[in-house]
Amino acid sequence: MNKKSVSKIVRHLPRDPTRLLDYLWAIQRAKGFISPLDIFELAKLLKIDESRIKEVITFYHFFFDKPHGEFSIFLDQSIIAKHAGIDLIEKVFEEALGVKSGQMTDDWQFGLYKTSCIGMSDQAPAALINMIPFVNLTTDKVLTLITCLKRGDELLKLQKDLDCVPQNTVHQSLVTQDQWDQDITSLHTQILNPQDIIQEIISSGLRGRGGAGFPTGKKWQLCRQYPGPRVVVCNADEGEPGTFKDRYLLTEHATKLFYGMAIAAKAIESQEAYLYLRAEYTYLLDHLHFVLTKLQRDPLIRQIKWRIQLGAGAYVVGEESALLESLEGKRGEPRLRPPFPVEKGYLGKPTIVNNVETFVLVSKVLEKGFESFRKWGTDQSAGVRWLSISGDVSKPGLYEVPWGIRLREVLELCGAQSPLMIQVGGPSGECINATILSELERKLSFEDLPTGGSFMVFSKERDIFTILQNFMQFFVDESCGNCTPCRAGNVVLNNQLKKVVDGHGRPQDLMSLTQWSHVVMKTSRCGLGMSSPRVITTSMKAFPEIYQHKIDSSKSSLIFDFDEQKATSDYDKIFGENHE
Amino acid sequence: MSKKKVATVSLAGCFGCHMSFLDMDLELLDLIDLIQFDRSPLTDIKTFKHRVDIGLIEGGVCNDHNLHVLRDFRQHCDVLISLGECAIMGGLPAMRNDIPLSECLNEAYLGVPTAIKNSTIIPHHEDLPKILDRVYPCHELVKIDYFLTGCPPSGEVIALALKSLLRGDLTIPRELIKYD
Ligand SMILES: Cc1cc2nc3c(=O)[nH]c(=O)nc-3n(C[C@H](O)[C@H](O)[C@H](O)COP(=O)(O)O)c2cc1C
Ligand code: SF4
Ligand code: FES
Repeated sequence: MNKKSVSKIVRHLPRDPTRLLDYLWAIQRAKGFISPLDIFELAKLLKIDESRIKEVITFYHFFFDKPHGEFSIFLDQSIIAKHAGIDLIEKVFEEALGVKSGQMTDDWQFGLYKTSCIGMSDQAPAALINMIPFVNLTTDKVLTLITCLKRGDELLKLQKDLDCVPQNTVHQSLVTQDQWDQDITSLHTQILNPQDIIQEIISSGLRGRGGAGFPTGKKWQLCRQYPGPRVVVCNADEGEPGTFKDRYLLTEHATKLFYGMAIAAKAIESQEAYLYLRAEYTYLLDHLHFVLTKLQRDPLIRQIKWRIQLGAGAYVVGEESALLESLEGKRGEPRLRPPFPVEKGYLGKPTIVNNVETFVLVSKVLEKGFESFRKWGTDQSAGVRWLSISGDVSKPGLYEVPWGIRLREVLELCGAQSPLMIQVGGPSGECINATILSELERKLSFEDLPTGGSFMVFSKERDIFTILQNFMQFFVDESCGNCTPCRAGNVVLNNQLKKVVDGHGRPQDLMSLTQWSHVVMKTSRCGLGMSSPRVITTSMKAFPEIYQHKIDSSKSSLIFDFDEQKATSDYDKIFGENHE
Repeated sequence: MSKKKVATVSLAGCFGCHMSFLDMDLELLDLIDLIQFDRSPLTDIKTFKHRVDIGLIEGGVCNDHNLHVLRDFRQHCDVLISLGECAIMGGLPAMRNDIPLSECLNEAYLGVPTAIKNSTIIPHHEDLPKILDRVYPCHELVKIDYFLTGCPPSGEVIALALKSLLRGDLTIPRELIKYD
């Protein structure tokens, strides 16, 4: 490991605690992990307390305070990856390396770990190795990979040789398709003044694409009410399992994205713009810097102070106020709201936070005019949106669809294979029973079935409870722990669900699941806890029979099933079955 | 009106809740007009002879004997109440829940200063209950109808709880059970 001193490693960074994440990445890249001594030195350098650094390191999945292996391998645990065989991949890694998942080889060369969805559901199973994605893994590829890494081959070269480089497969594109070259003078000569921009966006009916669907123009207008300096932030945290459309937009349409942000900056008269990129997309960082540098020729871009902030692994940071905390170099815990970010956002300044796709669409609206955008979609859901489709379909990948499209039509587009269940909008979205024809007539729209872009299809061969338990485990893992209903409530829900699935449930357990769901939804601080119980509530509505099936009403409802033998097995092991 | 029958037991508790019962002082005399103790450490009756109206459980479930007693209570009591922190959440005994059982027993019996090398053993015998892998709160094993919070709940709270229950529904003023 590297013996360089911290001050040398971070020489290029400004002495600013809000850049703490950058500091930690720099140290970790140089040294493999962040040691107590590094923390001590960094604390002195930044004139902050060591605890302030430790609390940040321990919050994020990808910061290590212990050695994690020269090659740290993170296996995607999303349900799509599970169905695509990530467990087998894990076994192959385990056997080839001689370690269990969660451990490091004795020579510290390899560490094997698990992580939540890495945004590669269209190319599952996938893993991150030193933050480089390896997609479409097979057992053969894994074996070759390990041999070659031991031999000293380059990761990036192997990624290519083994055909593991992420691809973006676009099956349908309606509005976003054309590539802009770097100089689109035609666009910004039209941009007259802030009010006109906002009016154009309001007329377009554009609503946020990150999930909540707040009207974009209105958000900007609200922000303008508060005195500047104001800030533009792009949310590229894309953490909802099954979503990968931002990955595509960041790769193929970064120019439109940066222009969208620049237009927003103009609209709210801001000179500061931040792009918060999830750590799983580290591999896009150079590309984004490259595009941004190229665009600097344009005064519209040049007059803004830009920063691309790399995250460090935490789903909850996608929540906008948590994202701002993280951008300030802190733990990504959601803030109490109000005040909303439009009033007090990044470092207390009025801030707009928008999704990647929202900004890309802003560019398109200004380029083509709001009428051409409005002609798509429904009354309340104007325009088009990107879907990330994965699971049991013949054509997984990216689809730009008009809002208002029916589920049936989406299933036809992507070639769904005897679908049983559709999860619209990821685990925090809605579970749909695909065997009920009337359900398939429902429309993707804010009026009926909103979605942040995740669309997972599961065939009749899949076990629904396995899927639901994977989702609940995701929320247990990703709860930031700030508020009790979510921290403890999701564990309770997960345990109760397991109890039912294991066949120990009684009729009152179903009621209890519903009651707990309400408690967690109504009392959690942020959208994570407010929506995680939807895994239970929406699936109970969609598939009541599978729950009923698990309940044995004949048994006494007063004395619960309990595996006494299992509970005493530790004791028996210590003293022998018969107490001799 | 005939007196209601009440049974009590201490499982993995410290008898603190039962001490609280005795702390009722004169209140206990009032109560005795309304209830009659059945199986309970207070009467030293060790098995159920009749059906009982109210069962009070102190302590969580840490061994197989606790488990069987708890089930016995559930089978014989119309209303079952978890009395105190240990019954409700496992309490102090549940601090061992994150430690493997063998480690826990070794530390408790062999790792202490009073242990004598090669002579002290971890007590075990077929007549002794088997320790469970962890301490369970009562409501994970049987249906519990009411929970009386506190560590221990005060005598006043227990008296109020019983009296109100006899009148119909268990109600206690919030001030009495708000601890923070
Ligand atoms: C737990 C949680 C995770 C979220 N993750 C994301 C995300 O990854 N990307 C995103 O754009 N919005 C995410 N959001 C929504 C944001 O809070 C916010 O509404 C959005 O970025 C606003 O942009 P928009 O109006 O353009 O949609 C998340 C919200 C919650 C509660
Ligand atoms: S709801 Fe969950 S994720 Fe959100 S603040 Fe509370 S603990 Fe954190
Ligand atoms: S024994 Fe009563 S609270 Fe623990």
